[in-house]
Amino acid sequence: MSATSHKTVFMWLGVAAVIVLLAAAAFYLTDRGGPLIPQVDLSTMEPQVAGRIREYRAAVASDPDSAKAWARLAQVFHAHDLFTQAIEAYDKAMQLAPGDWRWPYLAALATAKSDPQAALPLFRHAIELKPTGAAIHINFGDILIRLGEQGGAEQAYQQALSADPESSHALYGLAQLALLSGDAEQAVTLLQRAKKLSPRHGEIYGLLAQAYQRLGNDDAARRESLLAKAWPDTTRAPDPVAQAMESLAVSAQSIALRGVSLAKRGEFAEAEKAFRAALESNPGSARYYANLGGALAGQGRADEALAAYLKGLQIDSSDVDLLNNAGFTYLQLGRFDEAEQHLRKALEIDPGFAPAVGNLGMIAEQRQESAQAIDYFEKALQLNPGLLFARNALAAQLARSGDPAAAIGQWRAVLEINPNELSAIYGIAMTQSGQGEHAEAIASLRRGLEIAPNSSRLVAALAWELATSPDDELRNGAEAMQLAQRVYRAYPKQPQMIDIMAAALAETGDFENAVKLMQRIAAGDNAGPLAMRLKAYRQEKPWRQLRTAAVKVPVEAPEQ
Amino acid sequence: MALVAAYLSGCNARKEPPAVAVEPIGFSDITESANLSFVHNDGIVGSYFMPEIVGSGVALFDHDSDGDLDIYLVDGGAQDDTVSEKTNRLFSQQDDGRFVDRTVESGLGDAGYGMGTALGDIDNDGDLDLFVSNYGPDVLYRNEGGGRFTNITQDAGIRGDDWSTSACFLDYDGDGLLDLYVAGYVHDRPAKTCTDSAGRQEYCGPMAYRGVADKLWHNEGAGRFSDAGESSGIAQGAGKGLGVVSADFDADGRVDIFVANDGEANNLWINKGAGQFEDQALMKGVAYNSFGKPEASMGVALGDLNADGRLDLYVTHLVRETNTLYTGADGGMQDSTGLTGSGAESMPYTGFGTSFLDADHDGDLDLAVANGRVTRNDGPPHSAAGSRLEEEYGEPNLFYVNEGDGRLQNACAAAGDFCKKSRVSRGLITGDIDGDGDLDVVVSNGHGPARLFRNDLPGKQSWLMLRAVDPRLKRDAIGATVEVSADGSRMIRPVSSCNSYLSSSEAITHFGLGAAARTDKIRVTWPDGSIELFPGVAANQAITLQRGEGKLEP
Repeated sequence: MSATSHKTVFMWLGVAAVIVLLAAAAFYLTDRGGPLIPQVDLSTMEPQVAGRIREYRAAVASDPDSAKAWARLAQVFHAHDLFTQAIEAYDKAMQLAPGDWRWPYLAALATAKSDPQAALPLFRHAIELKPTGAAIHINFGDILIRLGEQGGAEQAYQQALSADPESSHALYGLAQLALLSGDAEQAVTLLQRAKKLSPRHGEIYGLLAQAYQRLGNDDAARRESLLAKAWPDTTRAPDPVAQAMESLAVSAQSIALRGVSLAKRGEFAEAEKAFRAALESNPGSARYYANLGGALAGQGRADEALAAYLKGLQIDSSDVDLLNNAGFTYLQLGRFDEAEQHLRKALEIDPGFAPAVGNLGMIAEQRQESAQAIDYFEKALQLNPGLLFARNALAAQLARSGDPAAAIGQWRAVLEINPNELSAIYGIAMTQSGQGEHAEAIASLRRGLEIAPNSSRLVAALAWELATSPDDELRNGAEAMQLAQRVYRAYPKQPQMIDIMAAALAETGDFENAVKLMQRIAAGDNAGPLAMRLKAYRQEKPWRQLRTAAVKVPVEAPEQ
Repeated sequence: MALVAAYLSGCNARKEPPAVAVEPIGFSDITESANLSFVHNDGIVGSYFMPEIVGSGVALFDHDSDGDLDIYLVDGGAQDDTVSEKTNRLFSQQDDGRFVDRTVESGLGDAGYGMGTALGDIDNDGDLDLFVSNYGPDVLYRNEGGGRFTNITQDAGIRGDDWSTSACFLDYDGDGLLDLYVAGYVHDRPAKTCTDSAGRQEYCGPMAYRGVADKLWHNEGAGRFSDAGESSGIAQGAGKGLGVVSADFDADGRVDIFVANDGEANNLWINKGAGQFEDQALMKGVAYNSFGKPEASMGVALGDLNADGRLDLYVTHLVRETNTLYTGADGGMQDSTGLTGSGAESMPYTGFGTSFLDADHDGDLDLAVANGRVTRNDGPPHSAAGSRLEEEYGEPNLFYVNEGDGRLQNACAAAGDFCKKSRVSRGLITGDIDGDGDLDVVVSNGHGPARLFRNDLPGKQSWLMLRAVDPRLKRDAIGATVEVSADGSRMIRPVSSCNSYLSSSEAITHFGLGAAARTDKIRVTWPDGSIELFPGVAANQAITLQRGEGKLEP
């Protein structure tokens, strides 16, 4: 055999060896019980998405026996709505980690998107592994309702309630079933319970409206309809596993959606990061600039928020949300003409855009144009009766215009929509106090503090009422002191807090310290109310004895 | 796939379900043999122009009063607001059942970017006039008789260049003249670039844009309409409307309007009288599904599916949502999707056109659904399709038979050609095209050929077609309901020409009578709520019920 022949043989042997190795690899990845790594066309995807999928596919390729690697890949597919591929990868993770409930559960969620029937065994398997997972039971119940299996759905929701007795979603599911079976009264009972547990679970109000309608209670049905419109965002049961999966999404759209969720929870700094990341991927999105502006505004960074809104308007000058938000931010910055210009442009584009009408009312209010402000607020509320900021503003304007009854009526309407709206509670209490209805004012403030025990505004107002009420039975110096100390410690340099603290001290007979405090803020107020109070404390008279002097101090403190 | 496969064993979802033991419905696709040669032109160039994935619709009516049904198909157009070279087309049925293009002769060749169409006799002269909704200015045609139409849009006072979708003629103020409701979709100008969850460019969804307020045109007579949107309260709701039906949902003798909105709460405009409407969708239980969530509502079918004497609404939705059935209930309606057995099955599909029809003449209403995605499919492709758009967005249609109690059984396997091909289907309308007493189906397809499905029912079961006419108005009694009793069954059908998605048909009611040779009695509730009884009639005929010729029910 010649050298050339040897060479040829070795070459062919080498080729054969490579083929054998490739075949072995293919066998390893296929015939050992698992599928090939799921394929998807990455060429048209955002680079971040394609990169992440490649990264996780590589992790699976380098460690095909790792349940964690397969599960991560499955979740990345799932997070980007690539359900077919996700289901394949979850299946492999289930084989490798048969005791982990998360993978059949997430596989069930992915499968249910297109084939609820096929998702049922996966849900059942997840429940076997994790019988106490409220979210699993709730999602299982929801699918069973869709499949018409009401008995199974009821069992699922009951199990969810056993796992989490405060699950408004489980109660909602049971109410759905009650309504389907024609028991509207039971539905109302369940939904009222759910509402107490989760007043911002907007779907509850819509179903309550239906239940009341069935019971022939049109007024209640209308009221709940209004509430449903005021809380239009749908909610989902707490579900850390699903949320962890969703957090793996890296497309601009997914990141922005995550930002929206964060902003809704008040986590504005994190939301800002999300929106900036979304803009890096898609700098041409006016919507993301609107979102970014909202996150910045939520952190009190009005100038930067405005810049974001204006950048968004450069991209889409007809976006009414951006125009309204820019207008509102100009208003906050005291630039009323620019604010008005943007809001009017929003209304040219969409004459029925209630927030812009309401914000025009806010401008009129700032310009001391009371009648015009009221007109705007009323018009905004005609367009959207659930627009709380406009109703609050209308109430405050009515109070200032000397119509306390109408003001209280509007604030009560606010509380019908959101019983926890502190501005309305505070407004009612202050108006009641101004009317001499101190018992009612104190009751209102105590109710507000049940909802928000740390609200400095409410604490300060209650301290003031308890220290200064003309009614001996209502006054309570000790409690006033306790409350006044809380706000004074938080805001020791604020004149209003000092004033409240001094009033409480005087009420408890500690005139020496009351005088010391009042001296700090009464300087320069020669004949004003502060000077009068200082004089009274020096004479060892508590504040209430000054009431005839018609001194009324509006208690206002920054909300904590 | 081992574990998933194990879990799935025994499940038939995503697979063809077993055929239901009914008389074979057997729809045959006779498009080519009937010479219905229409291919929808959406002007697609790859820029993901939103209107191209939304349209277009179809109308089925006797345009020339020659006794058979003709087909009007709405076309798309160009993307840049220029007038399209192609137009909507009218196909006139000949004596041999074949269609010929009579677009030019009829004058119905609108070249706007077409969406939908609605039929109604606006001038009470006994023939049907036609409205075309466009992405841009809408068009109203008056039927001059003899198969000729005149564009009277300007003289009629119909204005605006918003994006209109489904429309419906109804007489909301009881003055005898048909008024016009036009659903508005979204303001998509300037157009946005949208992406899907994986960052790929995709057609924008409705959330990308603001909604357009629906329009209500009041018929002033003499061919003129006035804008009643503001005065009626309709203009307050700027939903993203795609489907419209009308009926007296609260049984107060006044016609109401249901609007299927895309991704937002639906509207149920309850007619309060004096030209005023109030949206009571939330209270009446049709704004959201039972989970309190708005769905991407597209088309609407109206009928009494569960034969309880109350009208139900079947609303088609996006993939991963169920199509939703709202059944009539005390004080309103309720989401009964789970009870029908059809909801989960619809989740892999995006439904558009839909219609109730008694396809097998057993006395209960069956259901046809036209499907086609608006976002690309990443899963296994559906059955063979043609263009790239059809491959990525095409889906097979669905057909269900009623088990008699309102439960729907997938009968695709028995439905002949109806569910076989995947297309981007949009409009769907039913009518007896071949004059054999059963209902045939026309489906319009985006970026593809319209299809005509002939119902090949063997004809062993009886049927009846009724037209309810008010002779004082010289037209169909739009807004009435017709109730037929036969063999102990009671069947109710609405008299309406609006149905489905972007589509319209003549307001003829159709009843399957099973083995009955005649009906026991016929009861008509006229639009003003008055009730008239007519004697029973023999089966297997089409007759007209004239108001005043029956016996008034006290």
